Amino acid sequence: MSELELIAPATYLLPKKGGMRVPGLVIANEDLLKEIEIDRPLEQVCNVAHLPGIVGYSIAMPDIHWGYGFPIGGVAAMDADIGVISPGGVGYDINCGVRLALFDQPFESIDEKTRGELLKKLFERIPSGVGQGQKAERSLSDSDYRSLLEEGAAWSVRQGYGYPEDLQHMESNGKIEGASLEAVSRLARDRGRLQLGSIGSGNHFVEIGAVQKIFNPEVANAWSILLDQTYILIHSGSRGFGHQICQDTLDLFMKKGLDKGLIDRQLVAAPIQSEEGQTYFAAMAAAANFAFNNRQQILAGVREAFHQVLKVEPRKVRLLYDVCHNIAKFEEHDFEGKKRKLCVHRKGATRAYGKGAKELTDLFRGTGQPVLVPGDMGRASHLMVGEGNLLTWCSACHGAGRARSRVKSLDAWKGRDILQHMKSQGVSVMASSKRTIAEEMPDAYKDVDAVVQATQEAGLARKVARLKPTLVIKG
Amino acid sequence: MQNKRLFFGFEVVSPWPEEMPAGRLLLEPDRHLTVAFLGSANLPQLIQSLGSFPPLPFRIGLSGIFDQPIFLPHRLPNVAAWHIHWLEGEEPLCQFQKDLIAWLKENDFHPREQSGEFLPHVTIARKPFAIHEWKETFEKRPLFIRNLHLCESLGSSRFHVCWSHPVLAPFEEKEHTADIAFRVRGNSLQDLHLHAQLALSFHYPLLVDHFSQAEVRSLDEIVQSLNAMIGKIDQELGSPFKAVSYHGNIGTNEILDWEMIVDV
Repeated sequence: MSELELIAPATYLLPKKGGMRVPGLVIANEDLLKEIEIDRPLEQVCNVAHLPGIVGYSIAMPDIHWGYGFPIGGVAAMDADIGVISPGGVGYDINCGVRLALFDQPFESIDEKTRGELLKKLFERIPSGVGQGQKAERSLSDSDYRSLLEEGAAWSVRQGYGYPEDLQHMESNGKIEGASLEAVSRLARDRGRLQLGSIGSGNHFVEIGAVQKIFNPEVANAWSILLDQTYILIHSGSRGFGHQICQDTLDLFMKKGLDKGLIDRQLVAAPIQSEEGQTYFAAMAAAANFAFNNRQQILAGVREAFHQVLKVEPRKVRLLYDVCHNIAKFEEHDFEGKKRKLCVHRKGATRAYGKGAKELTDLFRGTGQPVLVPGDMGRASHLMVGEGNLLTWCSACHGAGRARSRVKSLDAWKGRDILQHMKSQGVSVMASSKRTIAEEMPDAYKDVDAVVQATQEAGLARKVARLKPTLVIKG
Repeated sequence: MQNKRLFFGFEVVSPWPEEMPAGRLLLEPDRHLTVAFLGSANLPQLIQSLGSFPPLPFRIGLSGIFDQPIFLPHRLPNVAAWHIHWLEGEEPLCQFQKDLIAWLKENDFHPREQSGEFLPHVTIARKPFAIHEWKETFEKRPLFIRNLHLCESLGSSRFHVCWSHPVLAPFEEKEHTADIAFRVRGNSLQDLHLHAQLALSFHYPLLVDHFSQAEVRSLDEIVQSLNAMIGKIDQELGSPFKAVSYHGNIGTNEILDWEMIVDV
């Protein structure tokens, strides 16, 4: 930590040493640095800086913590011609991400009894938790897979899960180009076959609450965000399909000896232009498209629950945006006065394009893209707007980040009535497993307000609104 | 006055269910595996004899599965217990139990001897209980034993530890901020593989029916085997684990140990 040098507000330089090809860059403020366990993740930031083809910095977001090879909350851009692509830089849950939907009625206007019914209906309708992913409405055939991977989220829309306009409200319109079913193993297909439309376990969730505070009225107005409005936040990824793709790739890369000579074998990577690199990208894109469809179908479940309980037209639950948290994408950025094609790895980080970015749809080109930052199930989540900061390849934080391990959280809450405790905080929670709730209690997380503050101070994204959860479904 | 009701027993560690059927339940820390019951015996004399205590044939606690509920004694039961199926086989514990009984007799103690084979079990509750409820709600669970204790029975299923002999746990859960981590121990690669599966099953007891006995020749093969099991169970039942990481090396300080990190 003593190596860190403050170079700009909430921006620290981690100077190059040893075989680092680029310096590290840590986005945090002093308070966060005191709070977080920094040594192991910083070591990982240094390790990532050793990878061939990395340009700019090896970057850590304010919600950084120790991950597989790359830290979670890490960003690294590799030259698309000479660089490498690393599954550890994407993570097991490929395109784990978040989407935010809004319902124009004030949350306060939904009475207590109806809220209870809504929560129950959501829990019934959307499979969550271990073993609940096998309850999808249909089993995916290979032909379904092929269309889904080719079309991205448009496939689910075509199946009746949502509306065409939803696609304009997703990162990359809900589709990563280059996906291929041939790059995906039989086991990965089998794992995912019955999991579409399910939340999964761990830190995945659906939460509903009210827009509690607006920080940026201009952007809020452009996005039709109102104080007290009902919001729905969905957090899930590519489920077993993506996990298996990551594992298959790691196994293959290890077998091929691609870990040789690396400072940490968990960074195992293939040259982007190699057959292995291309195959991983095609499989990763497949998982990313699976995840877009997964969140699309979860949203369809939410819409159905609103329709059944509140008797509103499903379309009234409108999607604001969907972002990827774990992905590698080809992007063009200005670097050293030239346009460079880069493969940007974001693992536990969000793309945060600013105003005018040509990749954004009209609505968001005028403002910058929404950056969705879930916090914990008790305190808050945040909606921000991207600033398009090139220092981080237009990236921002992705969440609060854990402050306490699962085992510690479990111990701390053992024997206590956690549901009642949450209720006393104004939050109703339903989950398949009490253990998950205990592991995910709010005090297991850093304060998301501090994380978004550092993100804003560093100029990566600006706060738009604070969201306060009241109804939560956990895995 | 120095006579106490004494027994030797191992600590039993298991992911105990939060809810159990009605009965006079033993508290979790009090659930143990009795290997010799001495009845009323002279404690100072026994403590003095411990210098020649028979060596344990294992340094790492044995692992097993609670595979069925049993009710003891078979006629007119007053104890609801869970039977143990040992994953390393019955031999190590049976051998130790025989050695212990023989040693006690040599030292002029009179342990209660069972008729027939040693029945490995852990008492969970005392009567009154409804047998059908215990049968219906039973689900298989993993367990391991560690530290052997000489205990004084205090009545009402409580006891006081008078002496202990350390036995290592096959795994320990470690701190990891985002994922879950274990320190896994074993005498061989095969042992590490088994104990890694055991560790995972403490988080997800349904895994006990899916343990793999595949031969493993390296740490990478252990990781691959564990991930094959996770993939298979995810396909059939769902899995709380994404994968076991290619992480760390095997330490070889007398016994093998490995830091296993599981992405969740």
